[in-house]
Amino acid sequence: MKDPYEVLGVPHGASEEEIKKAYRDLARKYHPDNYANNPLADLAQEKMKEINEAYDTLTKGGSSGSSSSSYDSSSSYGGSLGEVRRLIQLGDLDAAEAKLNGISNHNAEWYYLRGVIAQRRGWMDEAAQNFRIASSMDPGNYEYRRAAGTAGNGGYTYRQTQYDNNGSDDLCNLCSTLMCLNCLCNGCR
Amino acid sequence: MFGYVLPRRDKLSEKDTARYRAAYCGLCRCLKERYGFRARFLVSYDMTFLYFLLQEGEVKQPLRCFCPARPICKKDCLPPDGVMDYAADLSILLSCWKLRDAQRDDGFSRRLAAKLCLRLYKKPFEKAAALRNNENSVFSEQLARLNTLEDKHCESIDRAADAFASLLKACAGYHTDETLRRTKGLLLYHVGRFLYLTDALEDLPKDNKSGAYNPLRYRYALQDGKLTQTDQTQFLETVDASISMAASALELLPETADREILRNIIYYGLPAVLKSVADGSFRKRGKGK
Repeated sequence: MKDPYEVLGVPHGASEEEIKKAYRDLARKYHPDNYANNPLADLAQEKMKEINEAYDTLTKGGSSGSSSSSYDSSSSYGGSLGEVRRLIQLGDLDAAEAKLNGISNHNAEWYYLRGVIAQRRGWMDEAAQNFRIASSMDPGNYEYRRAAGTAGNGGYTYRQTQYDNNGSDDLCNLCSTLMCLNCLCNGCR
Repeated sequence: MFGYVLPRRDKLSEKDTARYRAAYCGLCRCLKERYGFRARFLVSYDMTFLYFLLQEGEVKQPLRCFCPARPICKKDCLPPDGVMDYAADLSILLSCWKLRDAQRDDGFSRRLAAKLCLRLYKKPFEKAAALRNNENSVFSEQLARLNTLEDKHCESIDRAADAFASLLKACAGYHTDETLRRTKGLLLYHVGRFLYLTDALEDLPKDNKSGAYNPLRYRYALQDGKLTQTDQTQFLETVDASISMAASALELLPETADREILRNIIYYGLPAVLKSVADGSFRKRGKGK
């Protein structure tokens, strides 16, 4: 097992408060919601497990809960759309798409799943279009609404992780950045 | 390739700025060592990014070396290694494929210039293609696919971008480790998607005038040759989604010494470039033209 301090990114002998804060930051970053429909979701889940284990070790079986295991999306959906979900989970997107195209009843879930397939492929524009249709057909459904809302950022909120965009990206800065870059191979240093 | 993959200097520490410069100079030197003087002109910030992305292991100390652009003083440059060689080889391949592409659709004088350049880089291209056979065949295959999509006036921006994104993804082929390859492959896929779509946005007025293919012309109903406000917002969101995906992949990679440089490029550099391309200030102000 890896050094739990290293996993949490805190120095040896860090206080309980520091450990808790590091844990909370990391857990937020690698939370399954951040990686929903991301092809690397399994790696994020592994990372989350590692973080939970490290925290548990350091707090001696403390109360991190089981946030990694509490998220289990392998739910029981029936019917042919359930089969599509299963194929998506297996990562067989072509088969899932073929199966989906063979279904003539285009309900909200059908559009949602089409969006999921597109998102898994990285086709964010098609994903967003399908999520929007699903959400407008069934406005009460939380899953569809959330997907439509996060399609714009691929589910991963990079601005909220540790790099908040604090304002100063105006033109002057960009301009000076590019000018500095132009100097890179001219500067005598 | 496009010059869109840049860090934001004002948010880069002094140490990282020096590292970034040294990598750029190192790549330039490596190009010369492997392909002769003319290859120096193909050094780019895009490939400097690739160097940092593929780098793993310990920090390399820079050497002092001669720079023909500033012959009176020596410059720091990172020493050549497996990754640097790889980035140099791919610089040659990608530049030549871009020139071949320019032969297809630009105006007469540019076509001629591209042709002459291609002749100049014929030998380096052959050498690089032999060294990186796998990557080169993916580049060739995906560009052929892209050309077919363009000829068919593909209406899906995702599908058009997919060909170029898959091309860039092949650069993760440097790694043999499956997880690294997968993670960096996804990151590069989305950087590729970002590049293709940002380029399409920048070229939209020009393509609209000349009638050349641009995925945005077919995906959206343009008004006066421009995207409507709503469409532009949605378009920027979908490009931003790719930045997010690249960030989500970056955070799953093992920590390396130059991680902050990569974070800077993805978290700050790409959004800033997108923003300035969207409001038309990218070339005008950035490059001082």
